Amino acid sequence: MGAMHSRPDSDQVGVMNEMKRKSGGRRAAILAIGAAALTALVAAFVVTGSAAAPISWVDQAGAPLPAVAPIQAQRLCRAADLQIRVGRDGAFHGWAAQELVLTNTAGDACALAGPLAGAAVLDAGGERALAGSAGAAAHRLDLAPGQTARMLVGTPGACAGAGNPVVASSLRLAFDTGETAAVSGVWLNVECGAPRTVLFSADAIPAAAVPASGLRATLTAPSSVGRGRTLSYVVTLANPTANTITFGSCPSYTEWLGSGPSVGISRTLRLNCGAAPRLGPGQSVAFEMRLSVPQNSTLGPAKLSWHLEVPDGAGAGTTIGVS
Amino acid sequence: MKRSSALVTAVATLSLFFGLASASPAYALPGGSGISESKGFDSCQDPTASQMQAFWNGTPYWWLGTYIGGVLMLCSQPNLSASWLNTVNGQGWGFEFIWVGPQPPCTGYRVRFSNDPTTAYNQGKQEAANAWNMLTGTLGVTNGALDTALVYDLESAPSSCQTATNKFISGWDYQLHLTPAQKAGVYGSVCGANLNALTGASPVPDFVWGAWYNGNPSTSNLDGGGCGVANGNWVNHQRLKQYTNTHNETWNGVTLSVDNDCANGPVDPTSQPIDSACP
Repeated sequence: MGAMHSRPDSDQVGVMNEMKRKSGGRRAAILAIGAAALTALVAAFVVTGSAAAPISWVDQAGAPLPAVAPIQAQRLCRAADLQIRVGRDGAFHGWAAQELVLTNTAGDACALAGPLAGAAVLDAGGERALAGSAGAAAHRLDLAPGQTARMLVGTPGACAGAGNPVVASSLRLAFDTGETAAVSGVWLNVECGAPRTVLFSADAIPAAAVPASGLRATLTAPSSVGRGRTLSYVVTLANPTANTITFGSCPSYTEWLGSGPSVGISRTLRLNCGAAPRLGPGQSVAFEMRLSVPQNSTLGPAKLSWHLEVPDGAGAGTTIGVS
Repeated sequence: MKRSSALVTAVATLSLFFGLASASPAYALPGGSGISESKGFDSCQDPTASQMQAFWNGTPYWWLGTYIGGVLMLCSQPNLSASWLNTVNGQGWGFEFIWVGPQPPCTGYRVRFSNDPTTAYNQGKQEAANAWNMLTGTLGVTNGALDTALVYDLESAPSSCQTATNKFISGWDYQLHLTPAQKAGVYGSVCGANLNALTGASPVPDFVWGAWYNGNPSTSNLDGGGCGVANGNWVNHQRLKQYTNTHNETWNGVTLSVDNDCANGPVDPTSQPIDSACP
């Protein structure tokens, strides 16, 4: 505890310096990219046997993915519902903090009220209550089955005379149900003050993937477009997986062009995938896209983005100028 | 960089002649950076690609403060990989890479660098070498990460051990400047990390990323009310600012715990548009 970082061997540092000087040169990188480009072109020709234009765009309305309803638990989490894992310890916003990962293992949603009032750390000096929460930590989290919450418990990282850690290695969490759970293996230095919850947030709920979730997208667009003009660009979907991906009914996509919060245009259309209903492993297919740029668009740099309306759908974007 | 980009563009253009082609499995993010005056955000845990997509459309953000490693990086990073970087960059995002290694000897963190100046200097070099290896190895940044901006996270740096801190950062800067050179940055509270005192490092960091939660995105003022960065230091597109503390934001149905940032300095891998809020 409180160990100094191990002193690096000077020879080792010297070797690393030498390695750094020798590797990663610009010429090597360009050659590698050039070789990859040549390989890709040759392979493309082998697959298709002939040149073909991107699949043409069609103006057919699509539908965005339904919005995911917020989780609203009907009950509080019990200690038995949660798998508690001790994560990393480290430095964050001036805090010396410990990460805890709480996963809802129950079959239904449950709620945790941050910052788990009554939590305490145990050290040689006895038990110290958490001082409360800081900033975004003070709120309730509703966890879906399988969803995780991330809790950061921290103490001030510096104070006068710091450098002689007083370390607590156990933590007691008190739940709203009145239950408690002891967590060992934590690292909390209380020499600069009592610990408090400094962050309490939920991780994303894993999406139910569909085959098209495995696609990757790249976008090629001109560097600028005039107001009142039609922007033509190309989206290429690639299948990096080992399995053939079949579209079935053609999925929708959403494109966005804008320069800032709520300033822009967005459309959701149907992908014209009839000519390429499936993609084999390693194959890609290019689609033409068109977007009418309104006369009243904001001049200057704008975000252009495109994403497939499937769970974890592929997305691509770039910056273009509106003139 | 320009020659590499031209080749990639040529490939992309020629590939348009093929309706169906072989997909390139390359996940490499190009090395490099460009001066940007734009807003970004950072989050303790690097978000998923889907979350990043949601935070792109119709938001003021162009880049992500991205934790890539270090012994004191707090949050687990299950999303971080070469593929993730490539995907998120393909969505349009830029990055500011952050390395969270040992902290000063007069702090309370579990891992601290030495109070001995010579040792601290070598430890700074070691951390830079580790960060560079992460960038160019695991994360697949190409071209030896030439000109890539890389930030050391200095969470607290009391003046009582400033000599060691300056030596450590000197080692960080020196090592990153070896060929192929990166841009060496330091993040920290403008007052709590005594950023201004890093003018005493040799070489001086190429840029600073100051945390001062006054809600003003302008990078022009990092003085923290008097204890922060002097107005005459790091003035040539050498400043980033974290101007709000962690809070929840929701965009396009996705909520993340974020800090708000402005750049008037290098962002990876290319420059971004000018936002008048970030002078």
